[in-house]
Amino acid sequence: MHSTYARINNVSAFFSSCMMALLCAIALSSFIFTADPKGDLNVTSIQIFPGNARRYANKKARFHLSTFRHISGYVASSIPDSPISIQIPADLTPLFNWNTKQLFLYVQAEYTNAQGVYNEVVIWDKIIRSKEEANLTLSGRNKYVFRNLGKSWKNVGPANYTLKYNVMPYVGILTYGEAARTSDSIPFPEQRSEVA
Amino acid sequence: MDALPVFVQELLEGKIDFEGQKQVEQTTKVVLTALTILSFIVGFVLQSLRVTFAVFGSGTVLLLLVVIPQWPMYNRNPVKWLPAKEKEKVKSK
Repeated sequence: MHSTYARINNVSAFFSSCMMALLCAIALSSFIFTADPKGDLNVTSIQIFPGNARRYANKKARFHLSTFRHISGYVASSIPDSPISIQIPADLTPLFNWNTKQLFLYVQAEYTNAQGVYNEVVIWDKIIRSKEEANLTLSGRNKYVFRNLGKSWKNVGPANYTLKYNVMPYVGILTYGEAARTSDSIPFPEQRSEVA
Repeated sequence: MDALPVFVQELLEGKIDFEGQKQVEQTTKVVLTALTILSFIVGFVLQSLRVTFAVFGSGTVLLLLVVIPQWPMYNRNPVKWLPAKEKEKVKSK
């Protein structure tokens, strides 16, 4: 501490140690917040259309798209392919604490395909960055094309749809959870002959 | 550095006596530890990480202003050097 340079050196070294201790404390403080919000998830309509991907040269392989709409408490129109804004009341605010940077939500379809392989497919996701956004109703149709890796959707087992979340902190470990799940498995319908 | 006038060099060097160094070390340790604890508690109660780092940062800036410059209070106890010895005359062979 005999010179200015020595004082700056010492103070900044101790400052760094204090900063590391503070960040550790913040990361550990996340364990105190144990929120487990639960809700409902309903899938009202699924349609299967022939796809237009040409993956294999010889086979006339048809890959199939499907769209879903999910609501809770509101009636959906059954006109296929019209963009319906549908509300899901989802209250995920308990997950927001001082150490929550953002929430990553995703809807997943879990099913066993015709060959007996278990699949988990993410069909919709959203990033929520603040507590205010987390209390709004969520709406959607599938954001990503839902294809089955196979010739068709025939003989594919029924699917369970789940709404899962990933809490991303400012400092600390990532945590995952499940907010909602369809109560019964939902089977896939027959393929439509053409896109309406 | 040698081209600057002597008083500027001494100012930049910032030498302080031993008592002053002890004071500076004590102050740094106490203030930084207390600041860490305080900023964590205040931020946790208000549930805002922004508050935590605002308190921590501003507290550190204040500490730097008090501790880094060569304030006169750190030079109140100068070292008492012994008087210079008379140089012995070199005996020629």
